Amino acid sequence: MKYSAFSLLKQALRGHRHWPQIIEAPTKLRPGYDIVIVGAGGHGLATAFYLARNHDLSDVLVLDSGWIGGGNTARNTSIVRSDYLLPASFELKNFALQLWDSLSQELNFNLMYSPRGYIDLAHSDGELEHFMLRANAMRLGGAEASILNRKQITEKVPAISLCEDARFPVSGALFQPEGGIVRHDAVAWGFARGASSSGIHIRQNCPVTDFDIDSGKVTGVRTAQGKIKAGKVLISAAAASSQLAQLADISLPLEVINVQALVTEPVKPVLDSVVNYNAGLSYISQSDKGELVLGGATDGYSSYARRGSFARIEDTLARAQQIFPMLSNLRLMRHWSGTADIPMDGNAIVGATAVENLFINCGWGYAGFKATPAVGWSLAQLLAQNAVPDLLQPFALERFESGALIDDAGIGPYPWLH
Amino acid sequence: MQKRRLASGGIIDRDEKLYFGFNGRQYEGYAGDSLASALLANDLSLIARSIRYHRPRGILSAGLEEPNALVNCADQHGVFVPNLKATEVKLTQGLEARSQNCWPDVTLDIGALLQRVSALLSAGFYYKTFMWPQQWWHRVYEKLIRRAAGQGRVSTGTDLKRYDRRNAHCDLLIIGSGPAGLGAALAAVAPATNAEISIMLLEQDHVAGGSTLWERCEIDAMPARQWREQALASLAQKPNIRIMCGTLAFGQYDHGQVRAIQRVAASVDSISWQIRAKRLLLATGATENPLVFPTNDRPGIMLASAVRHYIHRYAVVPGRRALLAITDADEAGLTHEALESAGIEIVATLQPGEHIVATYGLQHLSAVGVINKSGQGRRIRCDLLCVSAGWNPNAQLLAQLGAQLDFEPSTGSLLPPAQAGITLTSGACRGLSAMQDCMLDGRLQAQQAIAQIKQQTVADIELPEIVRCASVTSSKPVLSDVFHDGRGQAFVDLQNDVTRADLEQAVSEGYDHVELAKRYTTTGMGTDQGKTSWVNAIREMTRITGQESSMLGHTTFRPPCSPVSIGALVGADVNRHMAPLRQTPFHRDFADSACVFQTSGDWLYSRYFPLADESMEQAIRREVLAVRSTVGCVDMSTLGKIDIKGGDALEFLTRIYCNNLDGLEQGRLRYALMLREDGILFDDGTVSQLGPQHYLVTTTTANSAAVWRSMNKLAQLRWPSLDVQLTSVSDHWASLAIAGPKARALLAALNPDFDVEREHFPYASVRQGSLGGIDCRVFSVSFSGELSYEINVPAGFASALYQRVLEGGVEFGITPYGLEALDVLRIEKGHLSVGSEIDGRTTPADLGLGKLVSTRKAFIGSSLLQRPALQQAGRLQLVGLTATDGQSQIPPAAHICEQTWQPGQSLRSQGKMSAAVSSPTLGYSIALALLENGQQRWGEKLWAVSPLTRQSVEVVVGASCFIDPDGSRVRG
Amino acid sequence: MLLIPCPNCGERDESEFDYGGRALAYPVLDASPGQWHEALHLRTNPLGDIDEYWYHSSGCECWIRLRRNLSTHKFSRLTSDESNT
Repeated sequence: MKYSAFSLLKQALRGHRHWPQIIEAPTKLRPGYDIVIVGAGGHGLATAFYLARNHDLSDVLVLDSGWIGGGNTARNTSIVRSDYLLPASFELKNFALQLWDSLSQELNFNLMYSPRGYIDLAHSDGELEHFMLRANAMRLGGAEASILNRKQITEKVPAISLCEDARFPVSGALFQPEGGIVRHDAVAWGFARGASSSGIHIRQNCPVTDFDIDSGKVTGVRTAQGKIKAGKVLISAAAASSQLAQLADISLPLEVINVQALVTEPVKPVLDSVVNYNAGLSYISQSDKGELVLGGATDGYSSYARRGSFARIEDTLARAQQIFPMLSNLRLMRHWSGTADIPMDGNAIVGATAVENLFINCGWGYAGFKATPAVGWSLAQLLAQNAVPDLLQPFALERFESGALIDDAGIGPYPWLH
Repeated sequence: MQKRRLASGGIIDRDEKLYFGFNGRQYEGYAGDSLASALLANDLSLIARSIRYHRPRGILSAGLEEPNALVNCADQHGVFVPNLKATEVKLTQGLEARSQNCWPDVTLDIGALLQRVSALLSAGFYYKTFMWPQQWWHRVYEKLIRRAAGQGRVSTGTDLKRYDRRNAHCDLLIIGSGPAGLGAALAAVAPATNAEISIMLLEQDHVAGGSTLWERCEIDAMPARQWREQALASLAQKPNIRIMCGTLAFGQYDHGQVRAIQRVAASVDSISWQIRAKRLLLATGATENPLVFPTNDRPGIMLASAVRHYIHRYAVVPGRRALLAITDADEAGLTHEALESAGIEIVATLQPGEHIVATYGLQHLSAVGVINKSGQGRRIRCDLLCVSAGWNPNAQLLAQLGAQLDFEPSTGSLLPPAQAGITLTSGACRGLSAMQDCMLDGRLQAQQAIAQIKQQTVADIELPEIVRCASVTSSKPVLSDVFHDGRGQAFVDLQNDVTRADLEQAVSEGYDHVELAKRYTTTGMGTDQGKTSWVNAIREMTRITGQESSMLGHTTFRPPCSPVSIGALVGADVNRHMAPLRQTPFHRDFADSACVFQTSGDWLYSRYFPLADESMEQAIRREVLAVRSTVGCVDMSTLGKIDIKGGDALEFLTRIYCNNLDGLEQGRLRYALMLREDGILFDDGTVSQLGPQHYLVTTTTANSAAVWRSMNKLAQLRWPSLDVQLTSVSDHWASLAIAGPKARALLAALNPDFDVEREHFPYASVRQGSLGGIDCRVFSVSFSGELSYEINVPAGFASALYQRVLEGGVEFGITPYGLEALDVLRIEKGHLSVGSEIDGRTTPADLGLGKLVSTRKAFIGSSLLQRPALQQAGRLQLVGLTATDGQSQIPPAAHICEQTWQPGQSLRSQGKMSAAVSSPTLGYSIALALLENGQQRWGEKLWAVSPLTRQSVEVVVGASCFIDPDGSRVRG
Repeated sequence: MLLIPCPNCGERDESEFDYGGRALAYPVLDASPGQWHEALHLRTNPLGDIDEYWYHSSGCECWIRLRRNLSTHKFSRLTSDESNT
């Protein structure tokens, strides 16, 4: 059933009892599928969706140990942007931005893409020059970007305080008008609904326990609900990537690090843009529900616990409050953690593995959400056509051995510092 | 005149009247009141409007669980804080409170028209529409939705409240001071052998006692309130327990850390506590669940426990005619007694088999529609409906750490284990109900905890079987009997206006996991953290899905367990106090020299030294030219300095730096590069040999801490057998560089006790001695490209050195210069800067320093530097750029392209500029850039393109060194 | 906030330490790029214990080796042999 104001009205009159399920739950799994995707987060579901939409492949199964979109898709702070200097990072995320623009209509599911503008504050003239370099790279790559002076910043963000005496003063900002936020849960639901309506099977609460590998080639997956044959297998499981890859005897060049985020109590609109401030390593936006959503640096050590130090939250708040003094009059409502899988150069790993027909999509760390549709699109291409699309070429697993790193932050093989 | 106040009773001070404002009108209450009790005493029951449908809402509860009565309250400085629960606000003199989410006011709210279209505003309606036309979501619909959403309004006024932060350690931390908490505290302090055990007890209410304050039960055969007095009096005698009221323990974190906010009225407004405990005992009580039935949200519908709370503690009459819908007989009895004692007429008590099918009333409850077993309906006139669907333990502090709670369907509670990790639960927090049981349980659990703290055997301590709530064993009405489908919305989550129909719809649409249903409907995601909604939601989900509740589980409990003030958490870490800022030893003297400072990272730098009305550009130009023509001085103190001694010091350095260090002699130094383990350039600096087996290395400012850390790691962990001693002397030495053609003459004028002539103190040397009596180390190194000496003196002599340099330099026109001029000088010379050229992606060869990399030894990074992609052609390499016309300004932050750029065009960048400057020395614009294959492209003409400024300037590629390429100036 | 058992100073707050990463078996400096790649980059990331380094920067300035559970953050004791490798 197509969602529309009309269908909403029609269903309202019938007491909302006749909406179809977003996922046609398969009563029975088939013994085998062309493609099995392990991980029903945004990336896995988007891949499934584009396999059907762009390549007419629907003999696809998406498995998850929990519920759809229950990992980092549920835990991120929903920001989308493409302000990257390095071409590989920029191009993928900028392609994603182009897809976000019409994805609600494409999926017939309102993802609430809100291009409200992304503002990255620079704290010195030197830093601003780096931002200009980035903005110029974006413009050359076909994206909109500009530099704001202090006056323009306060015009766009009236709630901001650019006190001269601040510990980290602000000299200017990079502005990307297309940057903004997307309702994160809806992304998983919209892609799941789209994939399911094409006949793709999605199975929740079904952990993968092993892979069947026959002379260096993957032939199936073992699950809690039995054995399933597979032509190709894609691991797209964020924090669980290492665990899964290990089943195929693959050690990945990444570590798991805790990342925290928080929301304030919901209030009436007070902040229209997404604001990032480097000295705080934090960012803030206001959700449509009215909560101010803030994120900060990682906890800086390896962990699966989805639990971090409250000192990080306090630090994030202190740094944010310098820029937005109104935060002092608000209350912290909820804080939570996610496990970021961070590779040795801080950038994602997408592509083939040493096991034939076993592909991997991981290492997105805390930056995977914004890339979701572009990753799905490109991975579908990779799985369907057996050729690595240009956008994914730089993200190959081999790069750590070859040295072709994509280190946006220039930090090196120390994931806890990224 | 407090219309609804009983003539006597309650724990309020009738001698101290407090006047307060609500929605602009003045009322009075008493000391000891909460805002909610004072409002009720004044017969005010319509407090706020609900978020989605703008339905009138009153006061449901008497505690932190309140979903409805949200207000804005002004602090003592007049700054309004939104979203406070009237039940959590202590009444104070002159308090100003306002209703939220209504316009023009709470009684006549235009938004209430939304109720007419409530059928359209069903679960997740916004995911299904607002998609056409494509751009309208952001431009139109979102703006409307955002305005409708959000609870209160945040004030942009400055927060003038004062905050403090404290730390504490204790053995046993008890949270809650009800029967269980006080019982635990008494047991913990009782035996003389526990005198060494330190105990803290936190109570979120501003008065200790928990339910003993408002429940008419007996403990140890005396009235609970009397038992409480005795308990508190007895505890007050004990030196090893600290009781803090008004202190909300909001979260438990790793390794026994509990965070709490204490509201105090003394010199500060609140204190943020960080407490480490060996054992944590939760005596946090339980929260009563409301009933879900059609229109269960009207003002006048109140939790049965809240009714008793208002009557007994505040002497407030919450209604005149009461109807009871309470599932537990004991609780119904207690409520009965309370109502009778307050003279409230009990019009009916719902019996098993009777269902509430509707409630009536415009802005307050006026009647309840009930049908009996045989389907006969009746309408009961009443203005107070006391509801209860059982109790749910307040085990958030345990569940936050990931402990799974067991859903007990018969009582409707999520029960925690008796202990998980260091956390023990007791009393109502683990499902007990009778006060005496709770007290005894607190006592036993405290003994258990203390035994564990003392690491004694605990075998002889018997844990009581968990006694379930009374309703489990006696023949009480089954909960589901009380509610019933009927017309009208049956709210599961009152704050977020989530109805039973919403949950049914969510499940039918496939959002059948609790987490999915929660997110789709927003159940439990409000500021009340779902305290009164979660259990009912689970019960509804169980009914709808037909799944076992144990299969459903529950969602993650996330801290804080109740919202906490951000102002209080940030405390004094505001503005400049947010992070430490370092000043160099020259700071005061520079300030006297009218220096303009700039913060960068940890440091406050000298940026430039303007004369009179000079602009920054003019000052920088003057400073640069002075260095090139006479002499200037600049602060280099922020560089890292590490002293290295030992028989294997040279071997150690040989393994760390990629340079060849063979042949380094005492008194000489070398520019040296350090790689990361993966072969990428990490840092640059100098290695000086000060004596036999004695070296000093410098690091960049940015990497000072990282290099120190890394060297220690290598010395301690990797090569412990090497004889090396490391000492950080970064803060020991103040460092001032004098640079320019007259630098040697100036150095001589400072009375050195060593020969400064070129042949005796050549470039790349170090001398130790004294300058006019001040101990010093002088390094002949240059960042500017001029003859230069970095003079290090003990930090305490910084001022003396600076003053002597100024005095001795008068005849040479000594010019203090700052970081801006230094940067211009280094760009002219083509020297590298961390963050610009050393950007964490470049190798030495990329930056034209390949010849410095020794091929005769292995060093950190040497192996992975051989990786093919780090060696192949096409890498970004450092070059210098000048405009082909010799006069155009090269735009800053430009990219290097084959052609000019037009708006709207995509153009491939072949490289990026790392620095650009209009060279005062050369008189034209120069730039450094990292260009693909750059070192092979000297002489090639390309375009420096800056779409930001719409500039494309043709540039010619060349060497990165623009000044004195053969280095004759640095040798003087 | 972790409470980190420093063998020299006792249990101290996480804020006194810098994380030092996994306690890797480093190859010799002139080992092949392949050996270095494996040692420096590849991880198993178990749900249980790992050995790692912490640098007590605001304490004894010692690099210490500890064993910690990645799921629960529980530290466990290392034998003296283990802590010296």
